[in-house]
Amino acid sequence: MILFCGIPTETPLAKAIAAAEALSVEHVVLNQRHVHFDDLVLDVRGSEPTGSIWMWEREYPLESFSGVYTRLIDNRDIPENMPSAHSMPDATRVARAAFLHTVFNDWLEIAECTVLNRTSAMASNASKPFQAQLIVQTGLRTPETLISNDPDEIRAFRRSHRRVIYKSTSSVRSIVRELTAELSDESLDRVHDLPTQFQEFVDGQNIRVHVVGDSIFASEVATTAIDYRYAHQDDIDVAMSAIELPYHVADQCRALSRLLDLPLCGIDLKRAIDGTFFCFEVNPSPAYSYYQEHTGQPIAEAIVRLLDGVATAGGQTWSKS
Amino acid sequence: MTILILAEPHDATAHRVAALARQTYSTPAVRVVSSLEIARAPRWSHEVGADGVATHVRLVDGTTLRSGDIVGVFNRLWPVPASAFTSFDPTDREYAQAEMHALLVSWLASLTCPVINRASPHSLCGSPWSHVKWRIAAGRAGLETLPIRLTTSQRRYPPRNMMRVADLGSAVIATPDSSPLSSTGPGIFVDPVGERTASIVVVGNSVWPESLSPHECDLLRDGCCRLATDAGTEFLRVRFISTPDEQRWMFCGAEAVPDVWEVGPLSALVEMIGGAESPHLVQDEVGAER
Repeated sequence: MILFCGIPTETPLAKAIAAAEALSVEHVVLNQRHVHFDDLVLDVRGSEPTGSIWMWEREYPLESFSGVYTRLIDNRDIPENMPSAHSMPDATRVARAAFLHTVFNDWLEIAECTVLNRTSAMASNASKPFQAQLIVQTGLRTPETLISNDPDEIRAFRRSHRRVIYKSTSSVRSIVRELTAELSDESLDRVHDLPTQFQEFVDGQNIRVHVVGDSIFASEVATTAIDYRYAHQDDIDVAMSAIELPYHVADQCRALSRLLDLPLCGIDLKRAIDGTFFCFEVNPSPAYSYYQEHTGQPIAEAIVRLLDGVATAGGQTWSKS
Repeated sequence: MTILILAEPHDATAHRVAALARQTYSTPAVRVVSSLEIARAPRWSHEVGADGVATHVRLVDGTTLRSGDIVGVFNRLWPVPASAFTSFDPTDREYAQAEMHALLVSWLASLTCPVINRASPHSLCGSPWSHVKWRIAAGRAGLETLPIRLTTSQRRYPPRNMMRVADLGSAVIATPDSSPLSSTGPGIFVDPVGERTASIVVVGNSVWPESLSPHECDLLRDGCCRLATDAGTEFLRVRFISTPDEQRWMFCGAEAVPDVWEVGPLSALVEMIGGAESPHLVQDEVGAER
């Protein structure tokens, strides 16, 4: 049985639940907005945890789950736990919900079943240069990167690479922007207060790769925008299509997924003009549904098969025919 | 060449290690640096590329820290405080903290010298494991563990013959909870325990018992060392509480950033941080005290 966790109307979770229904795979949803009605117990005796979760007026032993897909949001961000225009949330209920989330996350960290993904594994994305040090271990290239608060050094970096972008060093989302000559001349002194991440600009084709267990789903993103996620803000078109990766690159993506202990991940690649593949980062909680909608790739189905324990291996590259 | 102790000004263990390292090694400089000094460094340069990682930090006092010049690190860094970013708009300080954390994690991960308490994205120093994960790991390392139950409802999942505790902190058993919902709501419970507590400090493959007989320490030694290895840490205090019959010891917690006072673990830490550095003659005197 698969356990889905989060807010079931959230698109990636909704698509996975719909895929489980379509495949007639037994599943249950831990609806984060209903946790006030759920109960959880976790026992630790010796080295094996046991426990149960009570949802929808039924008890589910934790050991009965073959896999978990979690899209849990911060407990404090659940609407039921936030103040409304007329009232404050019940402090006891909020504290109870927080306790349930803590214990549930503790269990996810030690659960024997497949978990997409464990919080500890997702943390590598909290430091992009740290993650880059892991990425290169798989043979994938990463762009030359400088994190500095020295404007002169950054200007020299820009001169040596001709085109340079800047973005957040942490997992806090930022729009990737180019360090233009104007910015370099006029605004760079602001980095004195905080070291900032700069990267060589790699000209080429954006590719998003979703790894699900051993399955690979690659989408090519055609756009002139520096950061295609925000292309609409600049009225720039984005077109997406499913592609097949060269075998060695697909293998490197699988190796990266295993190295980071992220059986489900979204890997941002770029195929440079000379054919070299660069890896920018690995998203540990990818909104795969956006790419599935544009390319028709059955990513949600692959997630369900992986969690159901019937499609852990395979190694095939899927592309839309 | 520098031995780097990353710690807050009030960290007595770090300062003891620094003092002993200065006595032990004649060549490398020993520098204690706080999270505030690191965050306010006037120059940070951290390059990550095809040729590897190179870092150059210049501190406010002019001290420079280059990756290749650092021979060992004893890392006890706390999260960078928001006060490091007073020049920022209050709404941006959290972002600045996250950015500096990301940089420090990458820097500490890139060092090729011995680093005691290597940083992870979860935590600048020490293991990020939860109390539950520590218990599972301790059981797998061969240690008997204190059974626990965590429940959101004592009514649905009653804790039979167990003691309620306020938390599973590393300090053995916390104060009993007497809140209004204590009999029906969420709770943390442990099996009955004895009256004695003890601990073992692990540094590498060596252990130092605290309130344990040599025989008891021998019985627990392998499990403690294996636990430290599995946790990816070289320095750990493993805490125990006695069984109700006072005959055996049960694992009840671990401190991944322990304080130590005894010269034995302190000098073992100094040896480990120094790595391949040639010790000064003073080391013989330190060794004799062990």
